[in-house]
Amino acid sequence: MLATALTAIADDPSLITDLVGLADTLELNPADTDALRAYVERKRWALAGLAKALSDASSEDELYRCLASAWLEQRFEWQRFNMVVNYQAVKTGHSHALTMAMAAACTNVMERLETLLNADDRDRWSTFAVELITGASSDLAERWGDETISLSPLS
Amino acid sequence: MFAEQLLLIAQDSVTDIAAVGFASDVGLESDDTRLLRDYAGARVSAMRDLAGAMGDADDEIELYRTLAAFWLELRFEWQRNNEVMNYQTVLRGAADPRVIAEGSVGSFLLSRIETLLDPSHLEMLGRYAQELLANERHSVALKEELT
Repeated sequence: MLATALTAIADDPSLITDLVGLADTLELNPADTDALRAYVERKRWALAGLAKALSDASSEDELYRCLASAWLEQRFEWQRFNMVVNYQAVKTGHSHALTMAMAAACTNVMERLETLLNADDRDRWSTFAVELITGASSDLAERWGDETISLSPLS
Repeated sequence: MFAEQLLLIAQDSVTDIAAVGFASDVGLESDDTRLLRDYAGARVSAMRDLAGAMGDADDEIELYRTLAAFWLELRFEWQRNNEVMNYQTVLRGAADPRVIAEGSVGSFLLSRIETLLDPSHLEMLGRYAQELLANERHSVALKEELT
C-alpha cells in the first residue's frame, strides 16, 4: 500500500544519518547543523502525518494526488534553493552553506518520493516547474513577459 | 525596488506574533509552539534570502518569478495540510492542532506574498496548479481502469 511505503520513507533513519556526512562535507557550524536537522525532521513529520491521515485503502488515489502535491512542493523548494545558491555564487563568489545543505536534503527527500510516483507524471510536473521560472513555454511567456514587474500592484 | 518591497513583508516580528497567536488559538503545547515559530521564521528567512540574492535592479524579473514559484510552493504545502486536516477531522473527529496552526501560518504568508504579485498572475498560477493535480486525478482513474 502507498501509505505503508510513504511511512517507511518518513521513518527511515538514514534521512537523518545522511545529514551527518552532509554537514561534515559542507563544514556546517553547530547552529546550522541543528537547523538542518530540524528542517529534515519537519519533512519527516509532514510525510508521516500525510501517510497516517490517508492510510485507508479507499483513499489511495487521494494519497497519490497529495503525494504529487508534496513532490511539487519539494521541487519548487529545491528550485528556490538553487536560484539563491547560484545568485550568491555569481555575486559573492560563495554560497551560504546551510542553503546548500538544505538543497541537498531536499533532493534526498524528493528522490525518495519519486520512487512512489509515475515517471511520466513527474516529468510533466518538472517541466511545469522549470517553465514557470524561465517563462519558456509559449502559453506562459505570453502572459509572463517582461511587463511582469510593471504589473505588480506595489511597484 | 521589488527586493525592498519583499524585505518589507519579510519581517520576523510580524510573522512571529501571528504564529504565536495561531498557536494559542489551537492550544498548542510549548514544544509544538516552538516548532511552529521556527517554521514561520524559516519561511520569512527564505524570503529575505531571495531578496538578498536577487536584490539588483537587473534581477527583478527573476525575483518576481521566483517569488511566484515560492507562492506556489506554499500553496501546495497549504493544500497538503488542508487535506490532512480534512481527513483527520473525518476519521478522528479532530485535526492535529500543529497541522491546523501550520496551515494558518501558511495562509498568513500566502496573503503577505499576494500583495506583491499581480492578481491575474495569481489566478493563472492557481489554475495551473489545479489543472496539474486535476490531470493527475484523471490519470489515477485511468490507471485504475486499465488494471
